[in-house]
Amino acid sequence: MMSERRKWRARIPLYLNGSLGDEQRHAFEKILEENPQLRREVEEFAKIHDLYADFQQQMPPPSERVFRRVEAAIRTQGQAPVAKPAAQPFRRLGKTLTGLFAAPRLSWALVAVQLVIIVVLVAGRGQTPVFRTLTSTPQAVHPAAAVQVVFQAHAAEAQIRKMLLAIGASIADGPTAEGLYTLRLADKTDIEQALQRLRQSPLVRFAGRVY
Amino acid sequence: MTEETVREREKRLLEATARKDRAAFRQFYDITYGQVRFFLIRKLHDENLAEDVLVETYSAVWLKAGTFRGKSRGLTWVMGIACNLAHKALRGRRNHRSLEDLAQLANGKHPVDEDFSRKQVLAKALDVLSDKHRQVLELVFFHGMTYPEAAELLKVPVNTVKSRIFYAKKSLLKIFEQMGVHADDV
Repeated sequence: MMSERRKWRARIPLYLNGSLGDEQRHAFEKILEENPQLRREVEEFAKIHDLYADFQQQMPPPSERVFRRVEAAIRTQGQAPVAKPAAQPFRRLGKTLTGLFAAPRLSWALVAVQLVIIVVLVAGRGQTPVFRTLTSTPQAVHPAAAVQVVFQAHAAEAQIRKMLLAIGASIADGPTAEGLYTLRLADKTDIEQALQRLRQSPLVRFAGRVY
Repeated sequence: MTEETVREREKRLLEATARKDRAAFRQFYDITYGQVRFFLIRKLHDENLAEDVLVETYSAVWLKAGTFRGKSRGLTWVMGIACNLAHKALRGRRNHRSLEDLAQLANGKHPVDEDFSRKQVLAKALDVLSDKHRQVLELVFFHGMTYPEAAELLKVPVNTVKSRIFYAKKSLLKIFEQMGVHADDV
């Protein structure tokens, strides 16, 4: 009985705003005739409903100015509400690209490529990095047996030859554009001692190991 | 026109808008503009801000019409967009409810002149009503929504809408009384 009353009471606003179907409306009106309490409540709600009806009647017509603002806003976003044939090929291209990247097969292929790159990078981390400096040469020269030298501009060929023979070295490469020579040392020559002698010589501007 | 036909018309217009049919978009704007504008003005208490949000709302309708699934009325859907954008606009702003009116009511003064029309009386009373009560009354009586539609828009259960509308009526009648207006005279 209580839930029945609550059910009809809950329908009052819907009865007033016209949301009830024909069948429900007739049933509601029949109950209304028999129930003064419900009638009283309908009257209260009807006042509120009527007041809102006043608002409805005074509603302004759709604003042309606001619609123009809407159109301008849409144009600014690049989505003009007027069909633009010139934009169609780009839209189609965009859709094609979107579709391509949305395809599961391509997505998996991209994942696979990324995995290969990651594996190669991770595997490469264990190897000794190769650094190339100004004094390094493209040729493979055993570091223990090679030094690099830049001679002074005034050094004569005879003086250089004499010095190289004295320390057991021969020219393996050079000169480079910077005047750099690579020297190969005899097998049993102490590289540090040879370097020291080269650096003390007035004929040498620079002497160092090959790295 | 029956409710079913209104719903179907709104759906048809939104589907055409999704296909970038400008005429359909304009028709949808024409049939919903008044309701959405009213909703925003009531929510934002600022006509200029309401117009800005209105422009944003219909721009969003043009862009997102394709996402409308027709589960609810087109009007409910567009008001949902308007509601979200209004919340965004309100963030960081204070509600502009007239503190003066509230103070007058608290002092037992009657801000209602004899010349006040019924509309003005209701507008004053609604300004004093809490947002949740005012909204539910407006959705049901002004926008003609069903309970499920109002519930969807307010993001509350249907039963909450049902009970809230009765509390709203009670509060509104009490406010009329405080304003010195008998409900029967409204």
